[in-house]
Amino acid sequence: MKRSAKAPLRALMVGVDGPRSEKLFQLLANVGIELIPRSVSEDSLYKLLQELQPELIFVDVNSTARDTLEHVVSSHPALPQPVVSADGDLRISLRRLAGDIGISLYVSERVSPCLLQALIDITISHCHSIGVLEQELALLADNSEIMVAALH
Amino acid sequence: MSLRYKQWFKSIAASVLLGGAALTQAAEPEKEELKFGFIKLTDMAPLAIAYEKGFFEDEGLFVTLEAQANWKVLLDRVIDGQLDGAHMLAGQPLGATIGFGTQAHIITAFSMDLNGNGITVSNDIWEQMKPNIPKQADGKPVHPIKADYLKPVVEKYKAEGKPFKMGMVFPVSTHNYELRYWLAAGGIHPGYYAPKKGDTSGMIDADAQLSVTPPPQMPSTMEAGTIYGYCVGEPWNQQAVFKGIGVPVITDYEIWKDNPEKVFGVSKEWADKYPQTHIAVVKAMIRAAKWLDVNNNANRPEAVKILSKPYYVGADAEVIANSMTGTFEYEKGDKRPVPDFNVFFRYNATYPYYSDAIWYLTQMRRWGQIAEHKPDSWYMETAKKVYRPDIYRAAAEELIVDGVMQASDFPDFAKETGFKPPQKEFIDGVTYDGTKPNDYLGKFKIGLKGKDEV
Repeated sequence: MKRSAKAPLRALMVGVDGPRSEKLFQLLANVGIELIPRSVSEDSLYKLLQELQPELIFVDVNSTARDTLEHVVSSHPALPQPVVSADGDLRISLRRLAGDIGISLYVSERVSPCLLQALIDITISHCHSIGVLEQELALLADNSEIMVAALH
Repeated sequence: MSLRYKQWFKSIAASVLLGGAALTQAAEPEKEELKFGFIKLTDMAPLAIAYEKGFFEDEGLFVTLEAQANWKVLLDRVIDGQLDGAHMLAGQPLGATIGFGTQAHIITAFSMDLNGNGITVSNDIWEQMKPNIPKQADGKPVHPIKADYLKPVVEKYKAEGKPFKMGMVFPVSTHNYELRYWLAAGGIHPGYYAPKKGDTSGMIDADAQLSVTPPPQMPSTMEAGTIYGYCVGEPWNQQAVFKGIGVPVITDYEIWKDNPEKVFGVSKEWADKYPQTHIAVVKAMIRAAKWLDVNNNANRPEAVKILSKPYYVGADAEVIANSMTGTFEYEKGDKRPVPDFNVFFRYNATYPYYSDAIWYLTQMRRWGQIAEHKPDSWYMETAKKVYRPDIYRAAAEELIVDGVMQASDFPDFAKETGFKPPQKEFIDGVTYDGTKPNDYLGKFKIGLKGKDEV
């Protein structure tokens, strides 16, 4: 069944692991995108995508399900499609999303280029910033332990 | 003194002895540090052997091999330069160059192997097929097992309104075309693609629906009942036997004797930028392929040990050995000799024949991935854009000058046209002549031909 044009956007994650999945969950919740809480295996993708019809799919670039996902979406134009004809900033952003965060994005036609650009930018920024913050906190904790050990 | 320099002096000496006729000393590679991708299948062996046996280093190359999780990302990484080259499905350079899927100009100068795939069905489907299959005197099934014996099973599922589902690896994979070939030869329609209409499911008019399943997941997906059979490379057919969940019914050697399988692909841009590096890579891989086949497969047990390491194929050595050492187990206990199940070097396996490329293009056209009629000249031009025997020849001639290999190891380059003689050993008895692709397409009962469109 086709979803209403006014319905909130829904996203599905495929092969995205725990920590990145948590960061994305927070981010999507903040911007009002609903995350479909389903675990996805290769064999369930054909059925699941047609049932759920998400507007966005975040897939780990190294997921073994990637080839299956590519086939499923190529079979159904209404499903989110890989962004292949991006130019300029969007192209650079997509490369950063794949290279730095390890995620590729599939989007349906409801997602405009402007929205896509904003979404990618905030995803990179959010995941990157949290990553940096976590590293700094870990470093601080290590340094504190060293200082405490030195004092004793 | 490193082997590379020993070889350099040796080849200089050889050149002098040849009266200066072969004074074309190999140039240094423009890029020495390289990263190649592969998928965890036994036919990545030439890469592993070139690395483990030091053949890359002999050419002055420092190579990192990196397993990739899927064919899509492997191709994307070659296109965007993260990988210098990769173990590819033969259809990937062709599909990418003609724009089916991701578009990019990819070339190949090295064919990695012949044969190596099989079609497996679940135990349940096998039990339903078995009564239809003729038996030998010893009670075992007569081989090759044709899809004619699967047809009544597919028809039963159809009558019950249940789609008959099978798995393959990728829309432009050899496995997809081989499975389609076998099914269609038995009168089972594997479905059409219609890219112009936005339907690239490959399931239009299908009696059997083929879906993409990653090779390592094939056995478990079949065990879960999501697919009833699959076509894949090793070790995933033999694993179904070991797990007792399915029966390999046919190898691709029996569908088309000595069919071309994987290739080593690089981007055209990379090849133009690093021509001598490319030649050096091909030299190392030719040596690896020869090592794999030399002395009647004498090195295969060692190759099996190497491939079973977790960073290569990572499957049990026992499972890999089944097919790599010349036998293939069909039904549990029905182990038969298939000495050419994996061929890496003999029969000029590494030479990138235009006729191999054209066979893949005919299958893309037959099933609608190429939506419209193309003249024979288009097939020739496309094959020549992607398959590069000129680079192979340069590598082979350097190896001969180096004294590492003999001219008799290779095709006679002075006479070689790039087209194999017409091949007759297909399961349906249809002869393939690569110089006449449209004529070939016209011979099939099932499939697009002439001006047909979906």
